[in-house]
Amino acid sequence: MEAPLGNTVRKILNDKDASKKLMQTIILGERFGDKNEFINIEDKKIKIHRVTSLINNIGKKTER
Amino acid sequence: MNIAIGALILLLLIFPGILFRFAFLSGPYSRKNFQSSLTDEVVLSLIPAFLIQTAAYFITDHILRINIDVSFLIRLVSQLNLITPSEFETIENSILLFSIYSIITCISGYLSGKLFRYLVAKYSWDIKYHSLRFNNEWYYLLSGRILDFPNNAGDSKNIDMVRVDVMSESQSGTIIYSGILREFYLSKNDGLDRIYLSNVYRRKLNDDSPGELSAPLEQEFDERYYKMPGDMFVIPYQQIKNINISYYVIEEDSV
Repeated sequence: MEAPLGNTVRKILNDKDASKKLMQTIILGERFGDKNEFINIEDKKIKIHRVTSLINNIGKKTER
Repeated sequence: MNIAIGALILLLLIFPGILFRFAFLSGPYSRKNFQSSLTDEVVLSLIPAFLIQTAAYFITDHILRINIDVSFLIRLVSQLNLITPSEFETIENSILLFSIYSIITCISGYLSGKLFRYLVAKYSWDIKYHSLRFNNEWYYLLSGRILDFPNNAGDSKNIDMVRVDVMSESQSGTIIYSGILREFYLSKNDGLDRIYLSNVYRRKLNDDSPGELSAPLEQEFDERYYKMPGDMFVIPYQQIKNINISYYVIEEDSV
């Protein structure tokens, strides 16, 4: 079955430079801490967070 | 012989509960189809069997007005040698009716198991209650639904991608593959069959130690990592020594 994959990530993975930047961000983030860099894709710039670190930023679990 | 007949009747009474469990557990991402031993199944099927038989008794006795002699049934199961010849005649006359009753309760057991599975999935009761988890544990882990479990931080609805680091053995040593999880296939018997990754980078575990870097193939941003060519990288479960999973969310800003 398909793993969770958002539409923006799909677009990034289809873009050679953006996908390289994405992997760079998460792999270097793992080695040197959260790099928190923006990735430019089309007319957006994005940041990658771990789901749990986003929770820490927000301070609570999202209510459903 | 008497014991065998008693056991057969008891099994027929419990069988709707066994079918309930079978219907509840069987499905596309199921935890398992059945427990390993018949004894386990009988024990775990007692509660649904009791509920189904109680409902069936109520309908038969109170709505259809067909009298069921419960005490006679108990004696039939436990003390067959105490049954009189006239009662044996009653048994002979009731075989057809009892067979129809058993078939209907078995069908009801199966259908109610399917209905219960549907309700558990629809209202995510499997997330709230551990005992109702009918899915394969790898399903919860790789789909990110494990974040929804009580006391786990996070929410699976926030996940935009799943990154995995897979440790695998090769002739040249331990390799770690890092990539984006695209698909996963579960196997029967509560297992994982294979995973599909894209944007995969590999590194040797030994390279984590200073001074042991291998000759670079395509080192893009970290001297330890080499990009794997190809669009999709398949790792069979047998090749996985252990696996590290990270769930990511994307935060978007318009430029």
